[in-house]
Amino acid sequence: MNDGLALRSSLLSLLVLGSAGVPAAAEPVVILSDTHRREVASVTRGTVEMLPIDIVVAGMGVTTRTDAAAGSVSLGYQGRELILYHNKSLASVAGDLRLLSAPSIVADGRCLVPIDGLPLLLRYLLGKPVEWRAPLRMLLVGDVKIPRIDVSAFVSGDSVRIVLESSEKVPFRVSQGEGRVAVVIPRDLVEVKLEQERLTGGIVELLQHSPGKENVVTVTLGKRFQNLKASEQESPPRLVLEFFAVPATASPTPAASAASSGSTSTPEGAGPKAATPLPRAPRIVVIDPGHGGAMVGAQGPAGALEKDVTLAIARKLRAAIANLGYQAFLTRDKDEDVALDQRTAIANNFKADVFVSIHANGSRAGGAKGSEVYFLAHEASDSEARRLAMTEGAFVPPGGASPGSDLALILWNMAQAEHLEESSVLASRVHEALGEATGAASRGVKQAPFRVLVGAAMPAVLVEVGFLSNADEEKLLVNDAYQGRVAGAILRGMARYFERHGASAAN
Amino acid sequence: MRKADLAIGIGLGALLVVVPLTAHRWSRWLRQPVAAADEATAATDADVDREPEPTEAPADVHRTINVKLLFEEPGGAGLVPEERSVAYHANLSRQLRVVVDELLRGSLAGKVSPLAGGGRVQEVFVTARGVAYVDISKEIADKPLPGETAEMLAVFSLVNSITMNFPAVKRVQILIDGRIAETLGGHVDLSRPLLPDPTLLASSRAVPAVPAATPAS
Repeated sequence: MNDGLALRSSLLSLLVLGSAGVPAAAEPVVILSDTHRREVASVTRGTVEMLPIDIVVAGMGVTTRTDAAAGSVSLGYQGRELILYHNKSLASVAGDLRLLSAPSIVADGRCLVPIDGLPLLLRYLLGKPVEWRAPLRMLLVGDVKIPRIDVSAFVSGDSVRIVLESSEKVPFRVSQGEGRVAVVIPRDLVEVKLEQERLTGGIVELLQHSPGKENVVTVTLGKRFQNLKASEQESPPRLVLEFFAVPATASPTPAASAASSGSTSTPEGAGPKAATPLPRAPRIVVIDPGHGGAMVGAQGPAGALEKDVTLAIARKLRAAIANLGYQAFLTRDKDEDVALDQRTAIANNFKADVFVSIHANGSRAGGAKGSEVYFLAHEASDSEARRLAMTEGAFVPPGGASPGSDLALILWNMAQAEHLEESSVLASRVHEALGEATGAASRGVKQAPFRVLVGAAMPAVLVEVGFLSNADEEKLLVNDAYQGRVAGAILRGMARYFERHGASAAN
Repeated sequence: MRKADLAIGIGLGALLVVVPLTAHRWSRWLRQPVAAADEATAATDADVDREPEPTEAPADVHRTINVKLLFEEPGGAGLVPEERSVAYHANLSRQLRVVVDELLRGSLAGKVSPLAGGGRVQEVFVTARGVAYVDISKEIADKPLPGETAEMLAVFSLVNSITMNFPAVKRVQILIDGRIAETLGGHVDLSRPLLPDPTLLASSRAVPAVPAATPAS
C-alpha cells in the first residue's frame, strides 16, 4: 500500500515538474532505505541540485501539510515537525533554524530542497541516520546495510602487507598494471576506509580508493617493489596482498613520501644500520606559513607582508627540523593562497604528529607588540554545542568543505576536540621557548576559534610571532637572524613537547 | 488512532506557526530574569488560544533602552563599552538589528570601530535555543583588517555586544550576504555560531595575560 502511494506520488511529481518545464538532471537519485529502493528525479536550479522532499519521504509515514498563505510546507513524523519556507534558505527544526545551501522552493504542493541539506533535515525528522552519497547519487535512509571494507597496511623492512577486511563476503578482483595494482570490488554500495594513504619504505607508495559502479582500491608501487602475492581468507572475509621488495643490497631510502617537501630527511649520524627496520616512525611536523598569494595578511608600516615573513620563518623551521631527523612538510612552499581547510587537510593526510601554523599579527593600535601562541577554543565544551555536534557530526558535505562552501555550517569537524589538552601543552612549550629566545613581550598562551585549527587531527597550535603593525617588531621580523631565532625557538618548544609526550605520540 | 495523530500534528503545526507570529507580544520575557520564564510560557499559551490572527506590533517609537556597545580601545587594551540609547523593540530579532546597526555606525566617543563602514545589517534571526544569526551585507568583507588581533576584535565586538546586552542570546553567527562565511580575514571561524570571548574585554586585561583563559574576576 505504501509502495503504491509512493509510486503515485512519484508519477504525480513527474507530471508537476514536467509541466513546470524544469529541466531534470541527467541521472535520478536513488533513495535507499531498509524497506524501499526508489528513484527520484532531481531538479537543478542554477548550480543547486534539488529534490522534492515530499516524494523522498513518500511511503515512510510522514504527513505533509502546505500552508499556501505562509508559503510553507510542514512535514510531521511521530510528533516531530519540520517546516520549510518558500524561497528561504532556512528550515525550522524543533524550533531552531537550520541554514540550507540554497532556498527551498515551495510551489504546486511540491517542496524542492537542496540535496545536500536533506540528510540534516531528515535525520532530525525521521530520527534515524540519513546520508547523502554524492558519488553514488544515493540517499541512504536508516540503517542500510553496506559492506564496510577496512584497508590497513603494515610496512616492514622488505615487504608490505595490505589487508582489505570486509564486514561481509564480497568478491575481490586483483589486477596488476604498470606501476600499480588494482583491487576491484564489483559493487557500487561499499564503504571503503583507508587507514593511511602514503606509505614509507619505497615498496608501496600510495593507496587510493575510487568509488563508482565498482569500487577500486589502487596501490601505487614504489621503486623497491619486486613481486606480489595475493590470497583470500575467510572469517573475517579478507584479501591479503603481500608486496615484496628487491633483495636489500643498497641502503634503504626513507622519506618515500617527501614529494611536496624540498628537504629529504637524512637523519643525523645515519641512525640504525641498513638491515634493521627503523625502530619507530620519524616524527612528522606540518608547518603552515599563514596567508599567501592575494591574501597578504598583516602589513607593516614599512611594507613588510605577513605572507612573506611566515614563509621565511616556516622554511627556516623546516630546515632546522630536518637536522633533528624529523620529517617536516610545508602547506605551501611558495607565494600562493591555500584554502584554510586545505592546510589542515595536508597535515591530516601526512598523519602529522604536530601542526604548527605560523602567523604575524596586526592591530589598529600601533603600539601593540609581542608574541602569543594559540590553541583552539572549542565551543563544543559548551554542552549545547556538544549536543548539536552529536546530531550533526556525521554529516560531511560531498567533496568536503571547499572554500566558500555554503555547507560549512553543517560540517562539524570535531577532529581537534580530541587533541585540545595536548595542544595546550604544545602551546605552552612553544610559548616558553619563544620568550627565552627572543625576549619579545609575551601576550601569553590563548585560545581562539581559528578556522585553520578546527579540523586538525593532531596537536595543533597557531603562533603569532610578533606584530608586523608595530614598526619596531616589523624591523625584527624581516631580519634573517631574528627569523632564525624564532624558528629555533618554535623547534625547541616542539622538541620539549615531544620529550614529554613522546611515548604516546609515537604510534 | 490516525485521527489523534493528525490532530496532534495540526496542533503542533499551528503552535509553530502562531508562536513566531505572536513573538512580538511575549518575546520581551526572554530578556527578563529567569524567574519570568514560567510566566512567559503561560503567556504564550494564552496568546495562542486567544489570538491566532497575526497583528503587526505597534512601533514603540517613544520607548528607548540603554545598551552597551563594544568598541576598540585605541591604545590596544581591548574592547571597551560605550553606552547608547536605542529604540526599543518588543521583538528580540528587531531589537538586535537596531543594536547591530548602531555598532556598525561606529563609536561616537572617539574609540576605534572595527566594523564601522563595512556593510549594513540585512537580517537578524534569533532561534529558540538562543542562537542569533546576524546577516551583514558583503561590504563587511571588503573592509581592510590589519591582522589577527584586529579580526578578533572586529568579530567579538559584535558577538560580545549582543550576548552582553541580551543574555537570552548565547551564541552568535555572522552571515555575510545571506551566506555562511569561512572567516573575515583568514583566522576566526565564522562557519558556526560563536560563544562570546570575555578575555577580549579591556576590563579583563587589567592583569597581564594568563595562560589558558582564566575567567575574569
